[in-house]
Amino acid sequence: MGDAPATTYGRLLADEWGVSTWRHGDVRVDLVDVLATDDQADGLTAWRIHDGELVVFAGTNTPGLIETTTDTTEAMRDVLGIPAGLRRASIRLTNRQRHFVDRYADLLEQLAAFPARPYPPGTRIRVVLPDGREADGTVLAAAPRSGGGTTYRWRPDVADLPGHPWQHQPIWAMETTELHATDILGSRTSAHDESDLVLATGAVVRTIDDPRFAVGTVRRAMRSRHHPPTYEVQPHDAPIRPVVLPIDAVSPLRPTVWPTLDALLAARRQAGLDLLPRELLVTTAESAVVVDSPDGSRVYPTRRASPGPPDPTVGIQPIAVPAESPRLLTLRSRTASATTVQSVGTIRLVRDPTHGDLAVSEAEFHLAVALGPDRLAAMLARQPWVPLGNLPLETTAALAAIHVPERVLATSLRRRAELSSTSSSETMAEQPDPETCTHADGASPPPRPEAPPSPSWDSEPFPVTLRHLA
Amino acid sequence: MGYTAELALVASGRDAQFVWSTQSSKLWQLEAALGWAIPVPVQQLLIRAQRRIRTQSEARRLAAGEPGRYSGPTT
Repeated sequence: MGDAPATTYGRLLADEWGVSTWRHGDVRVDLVDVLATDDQADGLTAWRIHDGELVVFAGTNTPGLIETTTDTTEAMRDVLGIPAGLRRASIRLTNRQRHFVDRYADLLEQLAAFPARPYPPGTRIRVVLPDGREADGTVLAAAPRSGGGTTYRWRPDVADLPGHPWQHQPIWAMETTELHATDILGSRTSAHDESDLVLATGAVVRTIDDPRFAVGTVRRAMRSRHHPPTYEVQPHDAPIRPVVLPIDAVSPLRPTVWPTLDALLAARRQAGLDLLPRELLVTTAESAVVVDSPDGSRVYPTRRASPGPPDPTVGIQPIAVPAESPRLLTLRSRTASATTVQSVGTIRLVRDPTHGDLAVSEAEFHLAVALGPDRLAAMLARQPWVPLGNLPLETTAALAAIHVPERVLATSLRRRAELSSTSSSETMAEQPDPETCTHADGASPPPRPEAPPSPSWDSEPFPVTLRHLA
Repeated sequence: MGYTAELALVASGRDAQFVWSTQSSKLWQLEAALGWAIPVPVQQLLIRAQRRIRTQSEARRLAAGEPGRYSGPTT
């Protein structure tokens, strides 16, 4: 391109300066900075509305607000109103655009509306932290404060990232007031800030230009003496075993926030994922490298790691909200598009609104489904970086076939052997299932942390607001 | 003046076979017509190229004594 060295389409897209992204089901809206150039003194903001992978509408600068404000939420609100605005103005549209407008114009306009005050559960907010930094999150509940104002119980986005101590406690929240919270649309696009960030086990990444797959989970980060570090990545959307990629061949979708080396190592032990020589272990507090020694692999702390995204939960005692609140929000977000399952040759493709496209071989998928939801959940619980929750059986089966294929196969074979021996001897007592009872080393699986005791909340019961979004 | 996107099938030993094309006056219209994002650096390159072509053709017209399409305010 010009005098620049040859590059690829994926690399050019990855190098764009994303400002903000908003998603709902299959719809995605991106705001991208067009930096000032020689012949264009002022920077602009480009926007694109995607339906799945396809661009439906695009433009540089939204009409109106974006020209007068740098507030990305206002810009996003403006863009979300464009399909409905085009329909009202009877602008000629392509077939694809007309189809999109018919399906989504009203919904996008509704979702872009200013939220009611106090903010209902599900409202996305940006909170100014006591140290002056900002963190994004979601309102789980709201209550009037004595003397006026509103107290919000909110869950920061960082709490749902792989490795975070709150990841598997969806009812854990923290408090803020209306003075420190502002409603937002969209999430910051942070790939550029984190382009040199080494990710750890459990991070979800998107490949820049890999023809084999688009999304995967990092299993290991490896150091190289003469080359940049690499990641061992388990693909999600192609039924292939882990592949090794240079770290600049992927961009993070969900970075890891392991709090300590101990936490990361404990999770690795739980998953049975061995440490390999030259492996890099990165947490928000410290980093380490694995070296080979006569006594086996050893972990040597190397330096303090970069802190990653702001984590307002550090040093905070979590406050539990009623379980219905996050459950309702999850259900509501999943109604944006339902899980679908289809066969493509010998591949079973599960398209899940939370986990994206999951591709596994038909044979492994059937083995996993036959194990049932409880066994699958128990297997996946040993990979604590995999987000679970109330998932359809097809999604859980595909996740198990991707992340723990050996366990799926071993358990299936064991069950078959048990079933055949049971059928030959009906009097045999049912044996406990080792997959749901013990660890590979015979120890009981470590319990996930319990919810904290319900806090005292002023003198009155907490009136959880569970209204639907406007 | 605008932008044209063409989809061609190329087989070794044969000329490229154009199977689809679309034309738009704006790049963002082209993106919507294609369904693919045109990366911002490519957009900037195309815009610069189009300006250069426009300037050159304008200069040729002026050199030939032809009036330009827009000659600025005339007072």
